[in-house]
Amino acid sequence: MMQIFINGQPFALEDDFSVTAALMLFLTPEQQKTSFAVALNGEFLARENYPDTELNNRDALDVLFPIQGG
Amino acid sequence: MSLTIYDQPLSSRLLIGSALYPSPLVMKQAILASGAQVVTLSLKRQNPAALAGETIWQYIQECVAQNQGFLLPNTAGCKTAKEAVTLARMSREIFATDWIKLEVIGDDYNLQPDPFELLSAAETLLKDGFKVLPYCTDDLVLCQRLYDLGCRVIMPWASPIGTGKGLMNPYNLETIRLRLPDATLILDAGIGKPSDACLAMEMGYDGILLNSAVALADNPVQMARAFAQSIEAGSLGYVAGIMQPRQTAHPSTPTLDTPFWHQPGGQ
Repeated sequence: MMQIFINGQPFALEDDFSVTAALMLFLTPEQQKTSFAVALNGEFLARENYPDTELNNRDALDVLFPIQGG
Repeated sequence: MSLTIYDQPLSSRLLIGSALYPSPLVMKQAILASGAQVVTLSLKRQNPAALAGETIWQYIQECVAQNQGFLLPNTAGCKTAKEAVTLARMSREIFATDWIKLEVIGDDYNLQPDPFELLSAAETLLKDGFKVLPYCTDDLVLCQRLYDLGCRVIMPWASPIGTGKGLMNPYNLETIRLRLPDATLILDAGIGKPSDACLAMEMGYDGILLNSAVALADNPVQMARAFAQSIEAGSLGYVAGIMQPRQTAHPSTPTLDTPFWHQPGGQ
């Protein structure tokens, strides 16, 4: 088992979880269809790399969505 | 007349934010009424169940499509160059644009940009192919450095974000205009009323980016129109050539041959 953080919330996951698999757990089915972007440990992670990126213990994912801005 | 942002001509010199409106519908109506082709927006963490942002996102997309415009994502909330670079790259993926309004805040109280982190982030992003629109203070040397790095657009503040205090330091802003004649200068932040925007345009600024002044007005849609007209008026006035102020009064109406005895030779 390992612990990762998604938007600051801790999650206990089995080892060998990819970013894609973690996002499936975190995002609702509706949210999975919306626009979002991901950073892994503070670095941008391109969408095409989600499936091949394995998560490690204590990794932090940030999942960001469009909002209003000035 | 048109504004050019990194070789992209725009018919409106107003860039508008999408935050703080009383409702998504008012936001949409105000953006459309402003005629602005550039709409700023941002990225944020969201709870898994929340989908409220999706409506806003849809509305912003509709506004941009209707005004034949462009999205300008910002890096609001970032305090380091690293954070800003990461957020810019995330924004580029979602919004499919190289444009980024680069904000790196150095002071929580004034929301004053951190000039050192800003320069560092701008350098990285320009090398990464971004078209950087840096939000900065009205410091001439900072603006010059940003321009020398390759920022074709510079966005000095009028006053701190959201204060509505207008042009705090017209001397600095005029100096930046004079010293950077080839830069596209957009006044960003602190605009409170249409006359503030008009004044900046009369100084020769190329455009105005604002949000709170419209969103927090009693009638945001009407205020959006007011800003659009004031920016147009100020720009036209600058192009037309503003007369030099004079120390002494001069009669506007010719007095020669008018039948008044105050004329030379009269009684």
